[in-house]
Amino acid sequence: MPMKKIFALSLLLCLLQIPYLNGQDIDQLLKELSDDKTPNYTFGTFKGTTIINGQSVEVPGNYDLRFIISHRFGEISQGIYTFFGLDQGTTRLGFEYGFNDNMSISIGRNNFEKIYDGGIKLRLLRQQTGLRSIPVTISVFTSFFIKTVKWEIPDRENLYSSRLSYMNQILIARKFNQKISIQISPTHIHKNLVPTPQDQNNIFAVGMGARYKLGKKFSLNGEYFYLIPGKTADDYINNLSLGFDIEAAGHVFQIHATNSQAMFGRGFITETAGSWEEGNIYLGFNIYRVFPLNKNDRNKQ
Amino acid sequence: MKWKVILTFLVFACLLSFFSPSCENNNELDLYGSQKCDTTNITWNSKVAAILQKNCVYCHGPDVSYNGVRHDSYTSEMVVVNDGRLRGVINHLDGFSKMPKDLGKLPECELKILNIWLNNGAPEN
Repeated sequence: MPMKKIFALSLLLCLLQIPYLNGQDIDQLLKELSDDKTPNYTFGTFKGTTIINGQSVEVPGNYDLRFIISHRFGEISQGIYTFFGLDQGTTRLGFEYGFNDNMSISIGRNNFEKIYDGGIKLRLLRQQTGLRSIPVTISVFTSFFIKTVKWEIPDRENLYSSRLSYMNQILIARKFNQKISIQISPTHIHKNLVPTPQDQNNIFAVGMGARYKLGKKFSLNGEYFYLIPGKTADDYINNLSLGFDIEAAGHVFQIHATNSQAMFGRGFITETAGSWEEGNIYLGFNIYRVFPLNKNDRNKQ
Repeated sequence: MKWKVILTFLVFACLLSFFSPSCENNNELDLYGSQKCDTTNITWNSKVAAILQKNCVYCHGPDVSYNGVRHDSYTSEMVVVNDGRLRGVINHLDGFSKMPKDLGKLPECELKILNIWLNNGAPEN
C-alpha cells in the first residue's frame, strides 16, 4: 500500500508541475509516508517460558497449549556407578495454556514431595519501538504449590493449609540485541508452615537470568537466585544453573546443569542444599512440545 | 472476545477464593508444642526402622533402591551402617551425599536417635 501511495503522490506532483519542489521536500514526504505508526514488538527475549528453573517473561502464544516434561538426574559426583546420576532423577510433567498473547495458566505435578503446582502469568508491558518506545518487558507470575506427600505425623491435628505454599514474582527483561537478553526477577515466597518460630514464613529473593544466542537455534542460558539474608539464606544455598536452549520444529529442548533437583519455585529457590563447589550438580532437561489450538496457526504448520 | 474476558476473571476468582483464606504464618513448634525426644531403648525394631521408613524408604526400599541402598530391613541396613555411609549421609559429613536428598537434615530428635543407635553398635532388639 505505501508504494501505491508514493506512486500516486509522485504522479500527482509531476502533473501539477510544482516549480519549487526540490529533492529535500520529496525526501521529507517519503519519510512521512513511510513512518511506522504501529508498535514494533520485540520477540524472542527468551526461547522458553522458563529460563532454566525459573520463569521467563515469555508467555505461550494465543491459544497455544504446551506440554512440558522436565527431569533432573542424580548427582554427577556419584560417578560411573550411577552413570553420573543418570540412574536417578526427579520429574515434573506440566501444561501451559495461553488465553491470549499476554496471559497464561500453568499446572504441573512433581514427583519431588508429590507436589502439584499451578500458576498464572500476565505480561503487563512488552518491549517495543515504533508507536511507543518501551525498553523492557514486564510480566508477573503468581503460583501455588500443594504438597501431597503423606503426613509425617498422622496422629496429630494436621491442617490442610500446612500443605500450601506460594510464590509471587515480577519478571523484568530486556533484549539488548539479537544475541543478548537479561532478566531480573524479584521473588516472594510464602510457606504456611515452617518448623520453628525462627524459620521464615516469608522469604525474599532476587533472580537473575541471561541468554546469549550462539546460533540461529542454539543459545547459552544462565540463572542465579540470590536469597535475601535471613534464616533461609543461612540454612540453604543460592540456586545456580547453566544450560543450553536448542530449538527444533515444534519443540524446545533445554539442557542444563543445576545445584537443585527441585523444579518448582519454592524448592529450587528456598530449599537448595546442593553446592557447586562440593560437586552436588544435577544434569537435567526441559522439553516443550507446542500444540497450537488456534485454527489459523494449526493450518500454518 | 467477551467470553475470554469472562473466563479470565472466573479463573482468577476461583483461584483467589480457593487459596487466599489458606494463607497462614504457622510454625510447628507453636502449633504442636515441643516434642519431647525419647532417647530410651533405641533399637532397630523399637524406633530406628520407623524413622527410616518415614524418611528414606521411598527412595531406598523395595520399589526404588537408588545406589542399591535399602533401608527396609535390618540386614540391608547393616551394609550402610558397617561401611559408615549412614552416619556420613545423615550428618552431612564431607565426602558423603546429603540425605534426605535436597530436604536438609532430618529433624533434630530423629537425627539424635539415629546417632545414639549407631554409637551403641546398631542393635536390632
